[in-house]
Amino acid sequence: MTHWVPELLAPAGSLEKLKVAISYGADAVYLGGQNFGLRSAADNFTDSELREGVSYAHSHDALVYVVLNSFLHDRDLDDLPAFLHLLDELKVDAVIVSDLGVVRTVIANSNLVVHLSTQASCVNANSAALWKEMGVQRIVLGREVSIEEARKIKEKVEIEIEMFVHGSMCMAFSGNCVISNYTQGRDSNRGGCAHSCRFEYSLEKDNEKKYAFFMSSKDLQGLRLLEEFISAGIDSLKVEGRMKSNHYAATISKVYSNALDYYREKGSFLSDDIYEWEQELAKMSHRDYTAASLITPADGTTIYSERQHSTGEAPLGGVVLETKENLYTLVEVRSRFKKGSHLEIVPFKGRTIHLDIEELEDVSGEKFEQTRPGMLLKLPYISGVESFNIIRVIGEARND
Amino acid sequence: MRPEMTKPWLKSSWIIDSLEEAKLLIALLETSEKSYDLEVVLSCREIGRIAKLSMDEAWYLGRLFKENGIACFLQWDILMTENVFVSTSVTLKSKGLFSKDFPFSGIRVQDAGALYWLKDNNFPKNIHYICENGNHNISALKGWYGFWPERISRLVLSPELTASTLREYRDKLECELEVLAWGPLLLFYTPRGLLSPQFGDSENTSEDLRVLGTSEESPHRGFPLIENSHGTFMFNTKDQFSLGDWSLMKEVSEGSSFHWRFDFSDFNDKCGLYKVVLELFSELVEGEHLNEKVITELLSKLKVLGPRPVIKGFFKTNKTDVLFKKLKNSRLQDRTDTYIGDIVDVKKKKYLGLHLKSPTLILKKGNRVRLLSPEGNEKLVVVNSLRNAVLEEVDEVTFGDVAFISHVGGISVRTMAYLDTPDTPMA
Repeated sequence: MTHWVPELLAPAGSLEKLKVAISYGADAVYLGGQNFGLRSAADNFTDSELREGVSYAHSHDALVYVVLNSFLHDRDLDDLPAFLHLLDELKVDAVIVSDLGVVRTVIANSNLVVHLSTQASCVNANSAALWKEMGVQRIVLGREVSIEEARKIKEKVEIEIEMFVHGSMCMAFSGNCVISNYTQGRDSNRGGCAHSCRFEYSLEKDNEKKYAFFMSSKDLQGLRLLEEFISAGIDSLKVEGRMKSNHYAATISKVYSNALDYYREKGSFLSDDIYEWEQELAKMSHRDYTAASLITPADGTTIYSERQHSTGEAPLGGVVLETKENLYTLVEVRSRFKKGSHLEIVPFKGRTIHLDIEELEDVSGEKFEQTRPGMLLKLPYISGVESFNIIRVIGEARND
Repeated sequence: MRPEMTKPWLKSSWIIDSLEEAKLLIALLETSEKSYDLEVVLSCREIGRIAKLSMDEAWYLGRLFKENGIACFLQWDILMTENVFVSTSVTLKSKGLFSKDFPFSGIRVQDAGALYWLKDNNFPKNIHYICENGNHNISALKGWYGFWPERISRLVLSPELTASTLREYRDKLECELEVLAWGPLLLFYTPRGLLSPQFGDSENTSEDLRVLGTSEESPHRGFPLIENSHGTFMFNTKDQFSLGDWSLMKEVSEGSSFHWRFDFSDFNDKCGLYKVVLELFSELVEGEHLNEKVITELLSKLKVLGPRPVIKGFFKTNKTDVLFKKLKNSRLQDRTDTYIGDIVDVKKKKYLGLHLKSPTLILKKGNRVRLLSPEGNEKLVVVNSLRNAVLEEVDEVTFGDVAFISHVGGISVRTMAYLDTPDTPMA
């Protein structure tokens, strides 16, 4: 007997990250085209990459959702119908929208399924009911909503519910921050967010002055709350982070899919593996973790008062680009590490492969003492290792 | 008995936040010889983002304005998670929101759930839907109005819209429109209490915590910050002030029911302020007899009465998308058509490692490849040697492969490679 679990929805900032996320276990990915999304600084997908990405995902039984979640101005809408026709033709599984004008444009010009972005700050059942009436089929709830409230919303409105389970968080109600617009001249709700909430501020009250990162949020981590999500019937668990690395895409996809697979089989999370999963999440670069408002409304302890993230316990050493059976494993190096370092290769399925590096060699056969980012490293063939596997450095590696 | 209105282009909505302000305004209007097309907006602590009145006080003032023939709207603009929504709606129902004794001319809501709930309960009066957050296109606005045209009498628009866009919307929408003319610009709204952890006032929620914040990243100093029971709010260092462009305001208003909102809740000396504002209003609606000198003097007087400096904001122009192109290295952007992959390794005098990323293109020996580095170096090369990772010569490579071609000077890792047509002359 298997037990129902929600969809795991991972970010795909590029075609490579799409493949990484799906290979490591994501059930669905969300991505942006060259326009209409909120990550202007991300690579995003060209039309041909989109075609390849959708084809790859569907051939691996994964779904693709395309973000159209900018708050568009009239002139921005002009090019949207042509893009919708392409998405329709590619049989994209849904689009993620936050602006009612975009919802109406999608419905008028395509057969695409519409998911409401968290940017719309839909945080109660009446709001969900309104958006359902507007033609939306899934609500990505605002991150201010608890799992228990989400359960009530789902029961009252009978609509698919998606919630964030992991990643960086806006401190504001999403879509309700325009600091960048007025201070940097960049529209935060059209992809120009300058992350003003992550900076230090001096705060003056009467004669008292303090310096604090007072509006920066800790990162969301809901691993130990998966059973609550499942029990509430939440349809999809979303991970934030289209701008983040392959390391991130791989780790979150593997950890959460492993956890959900475990539940699917056992019907509980009573497993020592949870400690291992948490350790894996700790290896990525992140801010301190919090459950934010998933159980009770977020309080002062959810503020991240540091400038730097934790760089993680294990920096990304590289990504496997190519393997040839019995011949070699070709690695694109992402950080410096020395001969003698201990590496972890994370396969798509199963346990981490540990590797002590006795020799460092490039493609020409030349030996060297230390890697540098932006070079190819040729390792011996390692059974079970595939293209897009990530390699972490354990020990004295220096991350760039 | 009030005199007849003659020049109604300047319809104004005033935010009123205390009993004293209300009485002052009523007294000034009563004693004025001029008439003003003016309404007031009230809120209360239970349902307003930043309000000082209690619910009982708001209801009392609603009745007071009604008795004095002044339209008065109740503003319910907090965003509410499910539990907060349920308790708030119970409170409002018990307060007679749907009864005939509801003293207000209508209600203003911002949470889409509140709008749906009002419709679900067949709210009998006018609704102003506040779609200030985004909604920068006519399709969205038509969608909101179309949700319940029988009751939605007004859409409150974003201060990021320019006057020319407002004019366009005025012509295309059937309902009243409103935009902020003078007042604080809300930049940020979170339900989290962000100031009390810094100032140790977490137990004291009865009074707003007010702080000035200055970011290390911005030259702007002194962002007003307020924490109350609904969360934390950050405002711009300068207030919106469209009055300086009153002729544009007039153009936007022409032939329509366009309302301009004035939020004086933060101002000192309301008495002096209200008098000058009303004096200015009466000058502005004098039609052919406008006295620009007087208007300019009144505007100068007003500016110094405000709690903060003022800006035009986006009233004249909005170019908040023009910087996007600069967010990325343009040399690393073109991945269309002939883009075949990236250089991932450079070994001087030996090879360039090329990772094939195009799902559709094949690289063959003899092809010409254009290389464009992140630094802007451009090289056109013929692929005479094409090798795999054990440096064996191969005829072609495809998507996902790593190929090694002859080294070319000036080319670095992250250089993008494009298949070139034979027509392009070699450099």
